Amino acid sequence: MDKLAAIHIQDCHFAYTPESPILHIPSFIVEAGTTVFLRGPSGSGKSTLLQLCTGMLIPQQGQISILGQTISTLSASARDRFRAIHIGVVLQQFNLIDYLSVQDNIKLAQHFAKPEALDKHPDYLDELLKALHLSQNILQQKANALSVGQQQRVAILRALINRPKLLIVDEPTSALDEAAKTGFMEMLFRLQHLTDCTLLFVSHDMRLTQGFDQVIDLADINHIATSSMSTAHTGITTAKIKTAKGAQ
Amino acid sequence: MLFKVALESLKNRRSSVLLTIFALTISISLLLTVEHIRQQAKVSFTRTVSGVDLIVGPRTGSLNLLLFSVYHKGSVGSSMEYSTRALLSQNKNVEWTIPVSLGDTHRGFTVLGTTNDFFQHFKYGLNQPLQIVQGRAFAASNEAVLGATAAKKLGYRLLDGLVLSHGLGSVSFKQHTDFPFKVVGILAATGTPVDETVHIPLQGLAAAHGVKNHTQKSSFTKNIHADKHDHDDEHGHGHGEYHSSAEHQFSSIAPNPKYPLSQISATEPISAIHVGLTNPVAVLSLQQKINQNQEIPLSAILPGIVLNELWQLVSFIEHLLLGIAWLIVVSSCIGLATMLLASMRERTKEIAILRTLGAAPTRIFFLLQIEALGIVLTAILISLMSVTGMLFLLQNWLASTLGLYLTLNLFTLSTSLILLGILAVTCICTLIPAIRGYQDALTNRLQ
Repeated sequence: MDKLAAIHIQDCHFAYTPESPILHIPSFIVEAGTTVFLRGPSGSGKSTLLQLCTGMLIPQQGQISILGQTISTLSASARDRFRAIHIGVVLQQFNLIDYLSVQDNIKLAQHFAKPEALDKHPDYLDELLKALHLSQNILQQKANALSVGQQQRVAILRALINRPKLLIVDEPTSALDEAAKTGFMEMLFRLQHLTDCTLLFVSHDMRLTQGFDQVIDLADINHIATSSMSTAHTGITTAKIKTAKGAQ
Repeated sequence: MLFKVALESLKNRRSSVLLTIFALTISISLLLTVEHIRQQAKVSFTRTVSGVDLIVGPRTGSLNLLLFSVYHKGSVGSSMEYSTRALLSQNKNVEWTIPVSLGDTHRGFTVLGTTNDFFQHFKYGLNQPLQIVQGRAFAASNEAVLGATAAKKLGYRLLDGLVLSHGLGSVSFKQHTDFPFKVVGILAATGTPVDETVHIPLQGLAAAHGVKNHTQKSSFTKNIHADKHDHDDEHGHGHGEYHSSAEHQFSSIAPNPKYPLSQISATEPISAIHVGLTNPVAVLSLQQKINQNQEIPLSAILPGIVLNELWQLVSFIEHLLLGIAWLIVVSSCIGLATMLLASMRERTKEIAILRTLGAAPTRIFFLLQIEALGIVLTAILISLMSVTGMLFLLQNWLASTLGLYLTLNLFTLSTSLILLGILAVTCICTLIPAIRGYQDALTNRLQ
């Protein structure tokens, strides 16, 4: 397939302070339309990588392309708009603004993506609600009145409302119990299929890897984590673990 | 959408927001009140006299002469002779003159001895003439014309009687009871000291004083006794008891021929003369002539210029008050900024969410500015309403005790500028939390 990569990172260096570099990723590619499980324990530079992918941080060196757009060279405001329109993000917790209703939380996501991502399909929201087993009247409730599980599902809904091409999900299940986790993963895959987006799922919980096209260990792609401060660029570990897409 | 987020966010932090609004309301109300009273005081101060080109009095300081002859405050000490009036009238540029004589009171209200020229020529505000709304001007020497407030507060109606007290001040032991006056006219309200004044003819003033001091005594007392028989019910009792005698208002308004407006004695002492000129250009040369007169020691002042000088003196305090009020507003705005800054800690999460959704850091900056402006605008609205309400309630009290005549309309150019200034101060003070929010948004981590 000659599709553009959803995420394409090349020789990327990042450090908050020059003395302690966090990331050096020689190469990392996520094909468009695939589902990728990225394993990264906390402190491995996982959050930093996600912020680089969403354009909230830019690398000191190297290039990051998202959906064919080199976002590391865009202006700050262009990156913010790009994120609003093309990338859906679900975090471990604190996804929703407590004092706003579910509806307003969703509208807020649409607001920042205007006017490109105006919802042309009025049924889309209903479709998402149904797929996430959420009832219509949840829209009027305040976000802080919801259970953790409901909050995470609303977070998914909101992340998908602008029909992003890339969905980044970071430890979404850590606050859920086992039964809820399974249900959550099922919904996530169903929605990925429904919206045909690329899914980057970040977790340290290897029990959740089932069903993903690829499983990647951050330690394998991040040179700093693997070779501890080594400056050598040789012997790059496999950045891509190819798996047949149909093998799930 | 940003407005909605700001509104919901403020609602979420209700208690601290309400307290901040309360503090701001107090300080903004204070500032508006100070500014309003300052403006109105200036207006009511400078509108007291108009159309008078010169005020001539015995030699004294110009401020002193103005305060005494226009505001009836302080004292000139010496007096001048009535003959000066004729002397002034000889000048070809002089159109009219009003002699005024001060020094007596009636129940705390200034008594001004003058002639009918006063009602004819004295102007206030924007060249507005005095208006007699009830009754008429002097036709006999025992008649009085009351200012609006004096009439209202004393409860006098036409034909009520009154006696003078010697000296300024509400409590006086020396009363000129032998020569009572009769109210024949009431003036329309002017918002100037005229309202608080009892006007009597110079002849009457001389008579009231003369009864005590001069040989005329016997003839005047005789006249009064005769008068007492004519109006039996008018003189035996207190002043407020004649309201029911309505028939008098129509039947007895005619002047009593026993008290004619006779020729005024040339040596009669008077306090000042208001002068109107035919040719205002001549005012400076006439002033100089009077001030340099070797024979009679006189002072002539241009009321407009002295009013300005006087206001300059007062304006120091006025500016001080305004400055203090501004400082209080600024400190409340800093309080607002502190409240917003303190809330930033708990809002890092909220900012992270907004950032993740694609909100640029400038949006976070504006969100905080919108919140601050919302709070201040609310406070301004409440202040405008409460100050208007307060003025409405205090209006009469201020007018009667301080002589301050206030309008209820707060929307003047300078109040609008002050409100804009408050908004500007808000924006500047909110820069601190807003920039903090902006930086938080820039360095925010997804966690």
